[in-house]
Amino acid sequence: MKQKLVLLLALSLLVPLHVSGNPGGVGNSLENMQCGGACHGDANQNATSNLQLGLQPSGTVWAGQPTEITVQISGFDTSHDIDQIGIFLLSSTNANNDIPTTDGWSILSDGMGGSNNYIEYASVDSNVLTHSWILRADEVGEKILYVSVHHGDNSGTDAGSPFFGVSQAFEINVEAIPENLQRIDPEYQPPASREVGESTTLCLKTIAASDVVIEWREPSGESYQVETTQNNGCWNAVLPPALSVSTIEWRAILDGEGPQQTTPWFSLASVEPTWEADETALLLQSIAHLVLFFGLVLLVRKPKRIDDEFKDYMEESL
Amino acid sequence: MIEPATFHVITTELVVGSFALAGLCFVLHSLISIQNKESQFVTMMDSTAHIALLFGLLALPFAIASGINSSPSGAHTSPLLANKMLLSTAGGGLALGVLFTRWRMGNDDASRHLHNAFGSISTGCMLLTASLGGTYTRADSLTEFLPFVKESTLLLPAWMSIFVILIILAALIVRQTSTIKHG
Repeated sequence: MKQKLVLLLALSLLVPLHVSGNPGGVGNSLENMQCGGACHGDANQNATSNLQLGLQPSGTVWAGQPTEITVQISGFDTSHDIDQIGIFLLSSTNANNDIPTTDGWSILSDGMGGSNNYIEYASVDSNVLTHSWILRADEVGEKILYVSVHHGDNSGTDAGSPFFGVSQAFEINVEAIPENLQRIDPEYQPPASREVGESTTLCLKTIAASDVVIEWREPSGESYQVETTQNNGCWNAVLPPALSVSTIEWRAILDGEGPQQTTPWFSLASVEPTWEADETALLLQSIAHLVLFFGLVLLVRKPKRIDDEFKDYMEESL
Repeated sequence: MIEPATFHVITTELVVGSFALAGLCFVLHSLISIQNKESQFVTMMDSTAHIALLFGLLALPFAIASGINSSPSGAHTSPLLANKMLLSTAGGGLALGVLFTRWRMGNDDASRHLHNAFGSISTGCMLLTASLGGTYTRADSLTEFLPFVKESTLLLPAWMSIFVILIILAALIVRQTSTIKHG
């Protein structure tokens, strides 16, 4: 019996398990390049990604104004078998404090309904992947941005390894916005997400703008214009509700003394209503579970009576 | 200052390790005692199971507290986190009951296997809780075949939880007084 048991335990230790990193990803979030010391950032474990990483701002980057930063990742050809990929937008490669928000950027939109520097794609369908962030620089000057990727690859000599890639440094020249040029208020924070079935009332604060038109487009690309009304220093416009989980984009067209200004496309994701329970009820139920299962163990046991204890004592004495 | 998420990892490792050892010993205790009640392994497994369970139980409140603190929005915002909380308290209740009965009622031959079964179920609750943690942080775990624990949870209204607590407490008091009276 003992030998069989030892043999069984020894064999169970030899059973190979399917081991992989974070196959489901870690979700979009604010992450440093090493992603909490995960395997992809560990030089002892990772393999170098040969994807080509590019970054491009769309037009002039004004201080205090939203700007679109487009990241392009190419090289997803047939020699790769990549399903999920995580993309970082970074301000340095120090592996800590390298989120752009630590270098004077605000992330207004990550294009996926959040304000994160790390986003994940569950699959890549074409040879080139293009993704845009909307950032806002707080001051004039030179800034540096990097793109980094974490992914797996089920083909090639390093198949199964955690792949890691980081781009060259891309210099971004942040310029001062001309005086009296119509613009969005530097403090304006666009909404990034809402619930399905909810309309969104925008309250866009501007400087030196005489008229504002809001334009929004469906995921299919069809675009619509919405008139605005000025109220308490806000340009109000209502974006219609989405009927299903989807992401629409909107932008503002500003008229004023200077040439017409158009903001980048801001993403607005519609998500399913979030699940929420009554916190007090959950806490009480947890206590109830503790008491219920504690009591259950006690109640199903036959109580040890005093005469039993006396009998035990007598037996021990004899 | 150590972050709650890091502290949670440390404490859950303690809880899971201790409970896993306890669960294994409870099962072995039953298996060995079926074969040979007089075996020295019976006593060894019994002692190891209860000491490991006690150690795991001591670490459990820290794991639960740090788990709640490390969730930015709270356990009530995700069915998976709510299930984690309910499972861990159920496992904790079972473990507490097992230790208490062993301490106050001794080692009773008649209910030995039932006692071990409760200890093993307690371990099962803890391992499932830990597995749900893996699902939450890594979107992958060994319990992916149980989708309902990620998507739904059985929540009672507050009054019903209070009712359950009162019923159990009343039952325990009645049982205690009844034992004394008849003894």
